[in-house]
Amino acid sequence: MTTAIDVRGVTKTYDELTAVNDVSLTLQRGTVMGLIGPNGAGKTSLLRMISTLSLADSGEVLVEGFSVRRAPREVRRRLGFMPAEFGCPRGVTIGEYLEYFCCLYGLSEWDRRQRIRDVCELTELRGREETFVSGLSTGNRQRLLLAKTLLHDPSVLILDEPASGLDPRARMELRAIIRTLASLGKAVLISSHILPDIEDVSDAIGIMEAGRLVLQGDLAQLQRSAESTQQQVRLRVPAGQQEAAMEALRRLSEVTECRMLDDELRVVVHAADASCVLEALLRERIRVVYFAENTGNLEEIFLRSTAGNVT
Amino acid sequence: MNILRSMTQTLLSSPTWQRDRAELFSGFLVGLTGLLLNGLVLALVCFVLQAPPSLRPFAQQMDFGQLIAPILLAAMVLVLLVAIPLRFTGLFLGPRLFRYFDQIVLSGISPLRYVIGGVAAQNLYFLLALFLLVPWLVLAVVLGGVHWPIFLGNLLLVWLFCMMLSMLMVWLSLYMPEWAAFGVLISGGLFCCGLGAAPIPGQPMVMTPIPAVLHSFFTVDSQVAAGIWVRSYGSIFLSSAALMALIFSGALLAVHLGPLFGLIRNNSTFGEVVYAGDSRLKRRLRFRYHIQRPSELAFFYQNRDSWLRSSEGLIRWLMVLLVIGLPAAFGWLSLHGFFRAELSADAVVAADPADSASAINAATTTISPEYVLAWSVLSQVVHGVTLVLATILFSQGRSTTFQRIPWVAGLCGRVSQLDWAGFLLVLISSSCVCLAGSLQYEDLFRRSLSPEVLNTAASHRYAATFADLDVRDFSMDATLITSACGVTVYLLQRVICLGCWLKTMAATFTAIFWFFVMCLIPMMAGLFLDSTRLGVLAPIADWGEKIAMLSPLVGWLERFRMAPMSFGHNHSLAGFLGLQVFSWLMLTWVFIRRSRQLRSEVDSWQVEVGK
Repeated sequence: MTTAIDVRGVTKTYDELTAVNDVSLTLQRGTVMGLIGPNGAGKTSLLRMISTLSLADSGEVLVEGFSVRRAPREVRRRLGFMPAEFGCPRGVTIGEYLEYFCCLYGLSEWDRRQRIRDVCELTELRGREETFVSGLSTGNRQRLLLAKTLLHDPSVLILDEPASGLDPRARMELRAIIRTLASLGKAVLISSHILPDIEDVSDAIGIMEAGRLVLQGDLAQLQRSAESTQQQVRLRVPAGQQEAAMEALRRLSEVTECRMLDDELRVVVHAADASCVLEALLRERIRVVYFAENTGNLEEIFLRSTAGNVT
Repeated sequence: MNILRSMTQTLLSSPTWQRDRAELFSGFLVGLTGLLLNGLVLALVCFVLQAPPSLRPFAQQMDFGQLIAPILLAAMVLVLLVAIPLRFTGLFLGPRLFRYFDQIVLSGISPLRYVIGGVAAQNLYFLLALFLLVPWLVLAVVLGGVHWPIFLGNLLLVWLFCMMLSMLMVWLSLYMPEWAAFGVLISGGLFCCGLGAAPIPGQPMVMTPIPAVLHSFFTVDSQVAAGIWVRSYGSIFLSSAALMALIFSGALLAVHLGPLFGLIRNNSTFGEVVYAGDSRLKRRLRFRYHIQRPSELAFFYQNRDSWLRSSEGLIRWLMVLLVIGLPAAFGWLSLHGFFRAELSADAVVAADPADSASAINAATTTISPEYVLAWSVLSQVVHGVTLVLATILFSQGRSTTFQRIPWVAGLCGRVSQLDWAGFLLVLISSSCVCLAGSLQYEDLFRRSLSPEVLNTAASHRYAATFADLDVRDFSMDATLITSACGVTVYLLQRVICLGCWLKTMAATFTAIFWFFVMCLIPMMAGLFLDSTRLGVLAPIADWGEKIAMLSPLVGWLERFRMAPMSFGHNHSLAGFLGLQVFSWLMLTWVFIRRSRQLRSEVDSWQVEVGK
């Protein structure tokens, strides 16, 4: 597979604020990468740097082998960027909007008609070309933005919050479109807050926090990586033994956090497995009613690997 | 054919062409244009029919049909003057306000291709305006009097004017907010059209079609026209067409080159670039509200075609010289035309026109000493304004000064070096023109100051003060003071620019510093000492005149015989020149010291961004 996006040690600061801190990632053609992180994690700053919209203070970004510093125009030809916010000229219909962007991309009149038909087909906007953009629902605006992004047939797609404001059905359709695009050989980098979508559609996932890429890889790798560092355990004990259980667990050096939440004990353990928790409770003759290890889904990995810090 | 086809393709595939074409035939626009045009035509017709006494000799000798043709074109010029800049006010600001500027940047479209469609679409607007005037045109043809070659020639000039306005508006929009560009263009256009409509000898306002349009009006009475309108229609048409085409091409080049010398470092304060977190105050202190984020600024450099990029420095430099040279040439030619016309008019009245020697004699003997003063003051004003323009245009903010750009054929150099060369060239040429002009007029002035003239002008308040005047020294001294001040101000501006992100800000500081420290303080101190001969200050009172003469203001006033009578005349300029030379040395030393660090910072940044 060929590398579509190669980010090497990129840092970006705004005055004294470090928005992106030494981030490196690679994305191959035909794959989808999901970028998740809390608000202010630096996702949009990273995407803007990859899209040539802002310059990194240090590090290098290559798109299809072209440096965003030295050959921004070459990068722009190969890149489709779907921004988080929708902007368009005043008083235009869907057809006029797409025509406007076709002109920006310098497509000939024949190509324009063909492309508009194709992208409308793909995003299910066909037959609605005469509808005014100002009257579109959020979901349809997102479709239109995606259609616009695909007009010049880019090989690399960067989608910033593409599913925000979409209903469940529209999200499913969007996921299907993204999978189709990946199967066409395009590299897709998505930033989103909707973790199930990312989990469903991505071949690789990057988790950002406070400007850093804290975890990166496919879901299985993330699970392994998260497991190897810390475990989160939920357990229930009889009401009279809760205080004693908390005291016993806090004495353990492996336990970094132990708190009561909704009659459950939430314990964070820094160890390969959580057996030490059970052993300690049994030693103290505390009855364990319920015991569960949090592993598996992206939401849990995300919660475990981030502390909620923002830049 | 291929070039033509590709050009047409470029125009027709421009997004601004598509948008403008779609918006052109709205009822509102057609109605408003029709209303404006017809209203203006009616107003102009009424004005001419009730012509003021000065215009009556012309109006009475023309048929109504003959009158309508120039009126139609004049109305069209005025409507285009307002409508075209107005239609361009959203070219960059629109995408910014509606949040799709980034999308335009990311499309990779070149700035020239982006704007050229809008410019081309003004042809449609021009045709619309012409179409709306068809009923009036039919009326003029039916009544008779439309001279078709002249009418079509004028129409061509109006079209060129329309194109020039469009391109100028785009050009100005790169340097200031669009509403300010609109204001500048409208006020400048109205000023030029107003002067173009006035019967000025030589008619210099050929950057508008008004002189050509009104030519037939003013030349209908050959006797009246002889004194004020000496140029033929052909010469006005050609100079008008050439100048408008030149301005259009210059603006086109400037749009291709972009508003700055290239991408600059991202400034955090008072610079060109604004970040999301910047305060409102910072945002308001930008001149370009519509082009200020890094990506917007990068649009003009990263997306442009490689066309002419290797000679960018030379092209910019020549364009700046042109921007300084055109108004300077206009100033000198107007001054020359005015004095020549005044002298000729006096000669015509006072002597037999058939005898040129007698005419010149008559002219010289009717000149009052005020001519010397007027010439000298006005020539120094033109010289000074030229130097001020050069100071502002040949200095750059701290992030640009030491930027490396390709000068010619890919050979790179610093912007600063081009600036030094440009300013020196302007300084030398403007000083030479100023001195040459003075020497040219000297002979006439000298004769005008013969004892006979002074006797006849004995009642004149300047007569006595001019008795001992050496015109040559007088002009040379004044030029020397202006040029020396020009150098000091330029050096001061360059030094202050090293600490300022905006050169306009630096220019304000320079002006304040120079006026108060170099002009006002020595003048006030000197005049105070000179007038106070009491107490402890008495022993140093004699120094008053010398200290006052350190100020260029006093130097000019003294040389122009405007200083108080008690001050005397022909004081030495040695102190003034000494102070100027000392200032030059100091400022050069400070410049060299402060530029070292900045130069290396700019170099490392340029290496970092791969420029």
